[in-house]
Amino acid sequence: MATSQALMQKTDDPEDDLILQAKAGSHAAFEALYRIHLGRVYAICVRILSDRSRAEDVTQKIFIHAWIKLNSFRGDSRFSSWLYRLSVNLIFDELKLIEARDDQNIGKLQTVLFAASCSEPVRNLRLDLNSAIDSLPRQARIIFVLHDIVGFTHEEIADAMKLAAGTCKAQLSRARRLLREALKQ
Amino acid sequence: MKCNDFSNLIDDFVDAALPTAESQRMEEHLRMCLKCREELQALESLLDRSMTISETPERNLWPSIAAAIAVAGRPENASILRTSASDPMTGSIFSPGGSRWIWRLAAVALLGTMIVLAATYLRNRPLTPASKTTQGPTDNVRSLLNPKAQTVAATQAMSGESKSSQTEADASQSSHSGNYAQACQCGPSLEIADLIDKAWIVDEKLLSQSEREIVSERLYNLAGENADNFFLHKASVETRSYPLHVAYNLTQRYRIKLVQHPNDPVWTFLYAYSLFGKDTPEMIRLMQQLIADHPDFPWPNLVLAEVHGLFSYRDDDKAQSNIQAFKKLCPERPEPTRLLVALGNSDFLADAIGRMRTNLATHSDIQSLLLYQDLWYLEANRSATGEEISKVQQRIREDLKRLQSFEASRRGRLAQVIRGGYFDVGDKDIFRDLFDKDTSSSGRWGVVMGEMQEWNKANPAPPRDAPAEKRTAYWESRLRVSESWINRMPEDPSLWIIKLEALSALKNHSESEFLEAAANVLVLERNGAETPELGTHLPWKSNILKLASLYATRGILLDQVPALIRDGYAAAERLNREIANDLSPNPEWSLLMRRFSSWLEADDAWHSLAAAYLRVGKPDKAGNALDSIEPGLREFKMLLEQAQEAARPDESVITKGQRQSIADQLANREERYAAARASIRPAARK
Repeated sequence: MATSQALMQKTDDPEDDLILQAKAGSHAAFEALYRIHLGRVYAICVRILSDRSRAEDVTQKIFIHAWIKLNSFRGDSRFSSWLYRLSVNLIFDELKLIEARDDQNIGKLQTVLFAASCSEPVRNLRLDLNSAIDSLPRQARIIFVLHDIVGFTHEEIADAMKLAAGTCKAQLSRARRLLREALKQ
Repeated sequence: MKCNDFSNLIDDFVDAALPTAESQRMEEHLRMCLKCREELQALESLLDRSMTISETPERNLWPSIAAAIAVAGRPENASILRTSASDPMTGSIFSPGGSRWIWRLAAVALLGTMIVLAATYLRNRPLTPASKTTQGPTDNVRSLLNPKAQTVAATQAMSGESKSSQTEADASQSSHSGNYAQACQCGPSLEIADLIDKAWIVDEKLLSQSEREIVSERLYNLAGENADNFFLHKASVETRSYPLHVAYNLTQRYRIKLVQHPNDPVWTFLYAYSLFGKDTPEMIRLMQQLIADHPDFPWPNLVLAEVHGLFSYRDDDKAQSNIQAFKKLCPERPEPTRLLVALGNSDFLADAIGRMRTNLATHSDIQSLLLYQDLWYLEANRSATGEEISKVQQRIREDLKRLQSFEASRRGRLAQVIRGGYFDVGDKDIFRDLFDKDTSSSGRWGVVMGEMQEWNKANPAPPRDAPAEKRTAYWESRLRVSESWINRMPEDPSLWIIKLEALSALKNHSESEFLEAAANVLVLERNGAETPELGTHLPWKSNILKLASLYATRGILLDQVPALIRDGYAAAERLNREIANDLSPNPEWSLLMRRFSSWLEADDAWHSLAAAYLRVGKPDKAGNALDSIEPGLREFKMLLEQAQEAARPDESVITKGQRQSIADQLANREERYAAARASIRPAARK
């Protein structure tokens, strides 16, 4: 029943069809949505979290949560905007968790992350955009990802990160400058 | 405007955040200054590229997501995972619910698959020397028991001397009237519960599917020997799905009983239950009839509740009313816990969870204790505040203490639940330690899979055109690491296949080394060890078909290869049909997909063989090998046409895509076949 209702509302955009079918419970349609958006969602996770394994876990959580919350997507915005917003909230939950653990275990995690990032072979080869973003200072990196990849406004970022909007703008500017320099090399 | 001013404002300029006048000044400056134009171009290019960044994860994330969303149900019904405080769409970023969400998903992951646990384990544990055994791999394999022989021996050991089938028939004659009263009880006696628990304790060297096969056969035999005992029969049907002959025998067994005792509710129940997954609509019809005719019979309610939690037969209202009917008859039983996980009604859950905890505390049989993992999951979902979470964690720790108090040798599958519990409460050190000590098949499998992922990540295969020494170094290294995996898990034929692939790529290893490893694959496969292939996401790939291809590539024992391909393909076909069920939305299509993928492997093997014969100047035999491809090509072309004609208007885009992909692959295979034929002709003329 729900499937046929969903099909009656067929639209021109194939992604809209997938969303309707997924809302009606189609795992296959949701898997197609997953395949479309996986690369970008995962890239956002990696850029902010700086840890591929953790990013994989969070990416899984994002898509599970997207499934559960799918009916709250009403088509007012693009599906990708909705998904990235959901992603950022879950990624920040994860950051909070890392920070909470760091309070008890200061330094250890950083050492692990540092070791992990040093072991990335790509770092020593061609410096692509992804690794250039990874090499940014933490705050600048997160702000760059949120503003220029996810599409948040400065006000939203400032609110989320408990920063002044001015600080946020300055950090974005710094991140973009550092990236331009890194990519010039 | 100076360049410095331009630089300071460039970000606002590209973000269109400057007042108009300021923007115009920027544009004027741009017209005159090449350096700033270049800077602007660089920034715009950076932003364009940022809009398209994308990256592929190392592991396939979909299986765990699929498992979790299957548990969650449809989006609108998925409230089991939803509480307002940690809603990622409405809660603020950095909301206090964050850690709870993480924790809850750990529970989802636990429910999903062992893969998640194994992968987590792998990330956290350092690589350790693999071998803990002093035996060589080959000795180890040879020392494995034949699972079938073990089944018989174990069943006999548990229940005294095996009775003849005549005895079973005699027992069934007298079992009619007394059986129903027993079946209306809310659980087996302690003695029978213990017998069922013991049936689940198997040799640690066995793969999990062999393990299930053994348990299934043991319970089948036990139920045959104790034909009066309803709970042994029920336990037997519950493990029915594998292997096929047991599933088939079960349905036959209860069909015969029904002929002997028409309308008997117990045999009707067992017969109907044996149809689960094979003819589920008929099972539902029979169970509903049983409930109408025998309202005191608790178990049909439980089975229907389970069916109505499944994707294709989902009906939350019916499932709830079935659970309630069961709980009314058997308020002390813990089984509904497992089913509650699939339901979304939170009021119903709230009422049920508390009672489940009390119920589980009074049970000490392993089958019931396994339900703790479901209880923990439900309790975690119900907790809203930090205080509640720590209370739940505290309770889980106490439960774990209780579970740990059972003797290790008695725990069986409980070991996995205990390990998962420590993972859930964040005691990662204990979790890791338990994993390291776990010598069971699934424990070692987790370790091997972890190491394999790490190794594959660190050692990408060199391209075909890489220098020879680089390729040799890669395969030498892969050979060594495959041996360490085999040392840990010699019973897994797919690990031997990895070793064979390495040996096949290296020229400097003896043929006897290759043949010895190949013999181990055959020994293991013939013992019935059909195993998921490690390191890929194609679980039903055939080790035999792969072995056949490797023989052909290596150019040895070519005369044995045709029989090997036929055996391997027949085994794959059998397995594909065994695992087929009517629980997926489009069962016929799922079966066709699996069968086609097996045929592709056989097709590869025949081509390898034809090429090998051509290399040694035997075009006739190469032609024979190609002859074997033709029937499959025809069959799948016909099946594909039928599937296209039968396509339903509401079929998913994925199914459409899969059909197209099969059509494309078939076209490729036809071309390849024609090319191979063409290459034989000139050779034959010579």
